[in-house]
Amino acid sequence: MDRGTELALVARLKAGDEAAFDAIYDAFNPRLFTFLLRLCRRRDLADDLLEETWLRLVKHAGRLHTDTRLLPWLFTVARNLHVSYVRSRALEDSAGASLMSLWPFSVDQTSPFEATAASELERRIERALATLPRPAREVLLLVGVAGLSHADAAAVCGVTADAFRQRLSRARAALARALDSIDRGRVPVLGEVVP
Amino acid sequence: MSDRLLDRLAALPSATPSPSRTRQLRARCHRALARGRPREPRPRRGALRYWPHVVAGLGGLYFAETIRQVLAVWGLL
Repeated sequence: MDRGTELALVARLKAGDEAAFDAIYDAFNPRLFTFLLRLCRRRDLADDLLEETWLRLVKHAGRLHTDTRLLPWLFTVARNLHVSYVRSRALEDSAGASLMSLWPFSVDQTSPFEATAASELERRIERALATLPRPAREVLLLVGVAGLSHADAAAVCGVTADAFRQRLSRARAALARALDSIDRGRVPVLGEVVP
Repeated sequence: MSDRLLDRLAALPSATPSPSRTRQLRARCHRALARGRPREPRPRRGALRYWPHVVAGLGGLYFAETIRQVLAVWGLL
């Protein structure tokens, strides 16, 4: 979406134009959902967070700045909603389960994309991505999958460009190690991690 | 570290939410947009249409009379 079109859509959305909302929704929804689904690794949660993201946009439509950039705005909201969810789950869980959150790998390491991967390489990448801790996974998803620029992705994560570059570098190294582990058959099996 | 890893990530397939859920969400967002849309002021009917002009006129007369009296007190009129 070119910048001129985006600015026009923002102006119309501020005025409550439903057609403008539909155009924005059609343009950004697939990327947003794909990001959330790979981040959450659960379709039901991704659906809920996606819905809340769009509802936040319409709720704040009248207060958007005229030069709002929608892609970083939407991804910031989506990412923050997921962070809030993770934190609320950490508070609600029992002490034992909270200790599990300290484990370097999350309990659920499956990806909804693994079963439908078109090739073995794709399956390995999906599996490696799913095993990464959330902070590493999110930076790779923002830049590698959603296609955000480094500057936009840094803004989404609420960090400086330098901090984001370091985080991305570490995340790429972690992904490479995870792929290597999968190739060598060393990825922890789900059954070894008992909630 | 090469960007081949990021290129491979970029080649991963995208996902789509369920069509029914998409329809429901669109409808919900449209309703929310309609609720938040700024309402146009209702046009006044009959003589009420001229009420702002009447008030402005009376205010202008009052202001002019005040100025006239001040000038009279100062002996300028």
